[in-house]
Amino acid sequence: MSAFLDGEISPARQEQLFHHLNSCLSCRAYFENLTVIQEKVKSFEPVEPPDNYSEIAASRVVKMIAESQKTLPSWRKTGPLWLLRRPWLWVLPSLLIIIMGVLLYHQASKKSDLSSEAHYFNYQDNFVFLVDQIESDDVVLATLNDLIEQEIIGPDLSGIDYHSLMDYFYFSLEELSEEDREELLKEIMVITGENGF
Amino acid sequence: MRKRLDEPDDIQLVAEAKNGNLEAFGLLVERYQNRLYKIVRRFVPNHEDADDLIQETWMQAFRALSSFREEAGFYTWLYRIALNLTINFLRKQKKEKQRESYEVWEKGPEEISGKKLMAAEDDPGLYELKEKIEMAIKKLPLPYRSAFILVTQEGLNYRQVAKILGCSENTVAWRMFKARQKLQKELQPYLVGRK
Repeated sequence: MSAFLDGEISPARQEQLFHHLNSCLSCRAYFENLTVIQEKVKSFEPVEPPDNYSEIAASRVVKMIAESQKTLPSWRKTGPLWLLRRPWLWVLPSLLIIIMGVLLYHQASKKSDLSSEAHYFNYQDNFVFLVDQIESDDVVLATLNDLIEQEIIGPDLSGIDYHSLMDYFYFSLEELSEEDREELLKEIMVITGENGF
Repeated sequence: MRKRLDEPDDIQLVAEAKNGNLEAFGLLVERYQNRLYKIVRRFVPNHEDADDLIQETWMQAFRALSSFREEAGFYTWLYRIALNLTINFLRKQKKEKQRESYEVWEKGPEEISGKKLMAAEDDPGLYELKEKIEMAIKKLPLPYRSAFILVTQEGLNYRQVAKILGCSENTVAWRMFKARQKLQKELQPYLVGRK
């Protein structure tokens, strides 16, 4: 229903939705409520800015930037152009870095038997990062630890769609209610489940 | 000599601004200032805070111009900076417990005075449904509120909102679903019999 109201649903799903609404009174009542809210929300007018606001703001911002640049060293003012005019500052260091990179690559390729271990440590890093993100939320952390203890997920989080999982942590979990956190955890369970755990 | 800036597009202006042309950056400010104002004002209750946040948005945008990638779309990129600053600002307000005026604005005066929202049948003429919806939106958690405002009031699609909020389209869909569920629950007493 929600995706339909936002115009984000396929014609086939739309047909399914209408078919269901024709036969389900409670869903129809819910849908009608959502429609009323939607119509009202769409009629909300934004607060208009004061007259000549954009022109005044533009001159103020430009003035502020110009003043802040007066105190900057020349390399900060012109940025990359300053460097381009001084190739000796970057050509030699770049060459050195490339040579070192090639040498390191050859060395690393000799140790290909250690690649799986490196992969493992990468996941460990991700896990530490994840914990850093959610440490403010004891409920989520405790549940994640439970999941690990019960071997539902591994301590290295391998197999999890890491990016999808992190999407949920974009905002602080403190702002979610307990009910929503529980739902979030169910989502995590689904993600871990989908990935073979 | 620099070329004249007769209606150049965003990419041209950004390129000029990256080369230090402040006049070009000023034109970008003029072009988007009002649009930014309208969206930020949906989150913050007064002109001064909105004005400060937008000014900071432009300063950050200028400092970060070199990291702007054309495929992102300048306004989407700008939107994201403004939204992040606004969300951080609101969180800070909340954390510092200096929210008296925000509480009045966000919850409505009757909750601040310790009274619960009156049901529609108690005094149906006191509040319009529209005002109740506005209050209910302001009470949504920020993840839901930002997605809801961007989709329903700014008319953006899930893909655009996902780019602005730095999450997936599925997450936007989930937040929209939760926002509506909460609004419906909160507003149910006032929605009965209205179509």
